[in-house]
This record gives sequence, structure tokens and C-alpha cells, in this order.
Amino acid sequence: MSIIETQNLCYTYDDGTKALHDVCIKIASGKTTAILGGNGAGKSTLFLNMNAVLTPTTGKVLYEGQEVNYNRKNILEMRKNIGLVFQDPDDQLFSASVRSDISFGVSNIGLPRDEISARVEEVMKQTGVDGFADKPVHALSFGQKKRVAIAGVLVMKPKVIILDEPTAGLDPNGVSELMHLLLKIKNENGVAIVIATHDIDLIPIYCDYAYILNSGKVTLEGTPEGLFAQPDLLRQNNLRLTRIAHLMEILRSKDNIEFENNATTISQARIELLKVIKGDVTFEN
Amino acid sequence: MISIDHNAYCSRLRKIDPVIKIITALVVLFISLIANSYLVSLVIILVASITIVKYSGTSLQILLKLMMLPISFLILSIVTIIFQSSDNPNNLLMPIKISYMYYGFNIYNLDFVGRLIFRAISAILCMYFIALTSPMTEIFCVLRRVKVFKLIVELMELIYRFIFVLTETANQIYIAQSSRLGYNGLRASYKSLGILASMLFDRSYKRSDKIYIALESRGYDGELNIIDTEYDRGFKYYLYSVIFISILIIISLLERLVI
Repeated sequence: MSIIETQNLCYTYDDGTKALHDVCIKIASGKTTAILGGNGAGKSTLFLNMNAVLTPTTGKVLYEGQEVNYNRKNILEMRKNIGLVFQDPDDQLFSASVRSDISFGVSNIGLPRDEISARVEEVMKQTGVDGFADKPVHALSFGQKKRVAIAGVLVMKPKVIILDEPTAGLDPNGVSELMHLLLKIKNENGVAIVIATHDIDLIPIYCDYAYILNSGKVTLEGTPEGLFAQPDLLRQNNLRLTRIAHLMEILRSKDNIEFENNATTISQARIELLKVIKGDVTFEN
Repeated sequence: MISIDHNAYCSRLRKIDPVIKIITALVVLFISLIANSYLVSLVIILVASITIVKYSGTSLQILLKLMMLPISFLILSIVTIIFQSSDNPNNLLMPIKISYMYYGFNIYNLDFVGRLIFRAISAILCMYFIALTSPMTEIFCVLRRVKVFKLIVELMELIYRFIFVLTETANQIYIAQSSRLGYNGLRASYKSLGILASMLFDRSYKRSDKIYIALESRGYDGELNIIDTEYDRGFKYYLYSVIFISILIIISLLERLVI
């Protein structure tokens, strides 16, 4: 079931820039959806439309199958259910105290104080923020700030978490830690996760579905397997195969090795290569 | 400023309710000013230094360094108070005759100056006690709790947070400029500094836009609602505070009676 859906969503900024044009996407609940697109493709505008910070110029946004009603109460409800994590945590963290910043979103919902404290502590534990909760925000590393930003959104118990370039600026270790944290959040809380990313190698490992956005339009969509089976289309959209898929493609085209299935990740490639090595598949030279 | 900040966050007394700390420090400060006595000031100086160094965990070296700045101001102002001119050399300590007048240190002012030094140092230590044991974030909690106008506290909070973001940005721009020889020579320096200032302004403006959107998407409704940290409000801290203040009052009263 899709939790957020946009139908022919168009958005034009006040200065006349057409940021989105006829965008139709579906975000499945409990799944990870990737939005791929270069800088200025309209990813951020799309996200702001999805959590009702911006109102579509034409077209519709559906939340849980219902068309979004832009009255005050409903907008607050939408923002509670759809959390947005910004690319630069310094844009999001407004308080120098980790605890205060995390408690902001949940205090706005108007829960009793004990419930707020309990939720903040729980989320800090889940995201691993509790280890540096007493430090001031300006003394934290980039990766730590990122975790605090995610905690500040997670504390509202959203049904969808949208992350703008979550891995940008993190070291390789930080990237895999963050992606594991997101997987854990997805499994434990059953939330849908939407990530905007340039990192094509993440897609087959962590994502269930992907949309490719180019100049405000969705130009390509599909499951990772489906997308990586069409390398030419990907290249037309200024994207590339994953490193592993590229290697498999070269082995197939230049060395005439036939593989049974496409492989985009290391584990898939391992299976396919083992089949060839053990002689299940013939090696034609 | 940043070193004080760091020490405050690392303080071992941080978990104690900042309201107790601030009220105690302010009352003690007030007593020191009113009593105007060597003994009272000396007791405050000793107790405050011991609390800061031994119980809060700031090293003595850092405390002495922090004291250097206000003390250098103190010395300058004292010199202007006691260095005087007179036509009678008996009023002056180490008089120097320049044309018809004598210049030197006024002996009648010495007692006044001595009291002033002690009072000033004890007052500074009271303020350092607050600054070195309560980080800014805790001070904001106090202000909210004593019902200071909400808008002002929110502004203070945002300013405090973004001072660090701004200095970091400025630093990065500065490094980027100087690595391309932007500060090579006076002319280039002026130009680069101008660019740095205008870029900072531009970036702050853009960032404020983004922060507003970020706040909005977390349900901002015109007020920064947050919860405060729980503090250790142990009875013993109130007791310590009351005992110390009473001792100071008794000392100052006894001193008056004796003299």
C-alpha cells in the first residue's frame, strides 16, 4: 500500500521557475524508496511538497489514499507523520543542547512532559545519540550531528522519514553505519524511508524502489533489478551502473562470459561467478 | 569565551540545578559588595576558588589565566585611583617632584584600594563560578523557568547556537581566501575581508531560510517548545548554600560590631 502518492504534481516558484512537472510517484509503506537526480533536479522541492511545507501549484498529493487538505490542523498532522531530515544538520539543529533539540518536534505535538522525556530518551538510545547527549551541538562531529537530526525527526514517530542526501559528507564507515541505522529504524518502527542520493552503489543494497528525477520530471522508475537491467537508459539519464554491475557487463560483452542472472551487488556477483567457476554455466571463448 | 564554554560543559557540578548555583552566586556577590570587608572577601575568594578547582574540575592554571584579564583591568584602574598629584609631599608615598607639584601614591586611599581589590576579585570569582559550572544551555533553562520573556530566551538560544556555525563558516572562508593568497598585502586583505563579510551575510540569510523550513517541517508554530533537562535538586545543595551565606553574614556582622 502506498502511504504517499503524488498525482501529476507541478510546482512553480514565485519567480516563475518550474521546479516540478507532472510528477507521479508512490511511496510504499515500510519500504525504502530512492529518489535519484542531479543538483537542481527538484528533489528538495518534491520533498517539501510531500510534507505540506509547499502547496502544489497543480496536481495532488495523497496521504494514505486521501487527498491532502491544506488546513492548519491537517498540515501539522502531515508534518508530524512525515519527517524531513535535511542534508546539512546545521540547517536543522537550532539548539545548542542535544536533548532540547530532539524534544522540539515532540513538544509541538502537545504531549505530557513525562511522555516527551520518555520518547526523547528512547530515541536517543535507538539512534546511538545517548553517548554524546551531554555535549553541546557545536562540539559534535558531522556524523554525530546527523544522528541528532535523525533522532529529532524520529521522536515524532513519523510514518515516513525523508532524508535529503543522508550520506553526503560522511566517511565510508559513517555511510554504512548510517544506512544500517536507517534499516534498523525501518524494521523496528515500520516506517517508510525515502532517500535522495547520488550514491548509485547504495541503491541495490538498501532500496526497494527508485525514481529518477531529471529537470523536474520523473524520467525513469523501477526496482533496482529492473533499472540495472537497462544500462543504456540509465546512461541517458546521466547515471551509471553500480561498480559490480559494470564489471559484470564488461565480462559479458568483452569476455563473452554468460551469466544466468544480472548481478548488481557483491553477494549477487559472487553467486553468479561461482556458478561460472564451478562450470554450471558454459564459458564460451 | 570558547574555553569557558568547554569547561562549563565538562564541569562536575553541571548536573546540579543551575537555579541554586546562580542564586547562591548572586547572593554571595551582593554580600561581598555590601560588606566591603577584607575578611568576607577573602573567605569568598577561597571558597569560590576551591569549589571551581576541586569540585568543578577546572584546572587551577585555566582559572588563573581567566583571572589575568579582569585583574589587568583592575590594576589599570587602581593606578588611576591612587596615583595623584599634591603640593604637600607628606600626603604621598614615594613622591616625585615635577616643576611645582609632587606626584605619587596617595596613602589615604590605600585602604580603600585594598578593599576594592578584594571585593572585585571575589565578585569576579562569583561570576566565574556561574560561568564555569553552568553551560549556556542551562542558563537558558533558568531564564525560561523564572519566566523571562519567551521571545528573548528563544533569540538568545538561537544566537548562541549560530555564533558557532557563523565562526566556523567565517573560518572556512578565511582559510579558502588565504590559501589563494587573499591576505597577501594590505590592499588584498581589505578586499578579502570585505568579501568575507558580505559572504557571511549572504550565507546567514540563506541559512535562516532553510532553518525556518526545517523548523516548520517539525511542526513549528511560532514558539520553540522544548523540554528542559532534569537536574539534581538535592536538599544538600540548598543546605550548603544557606550555610555558606549565613557564615558570610555572621562574619560581616561580627566585624562591624568589633570595629
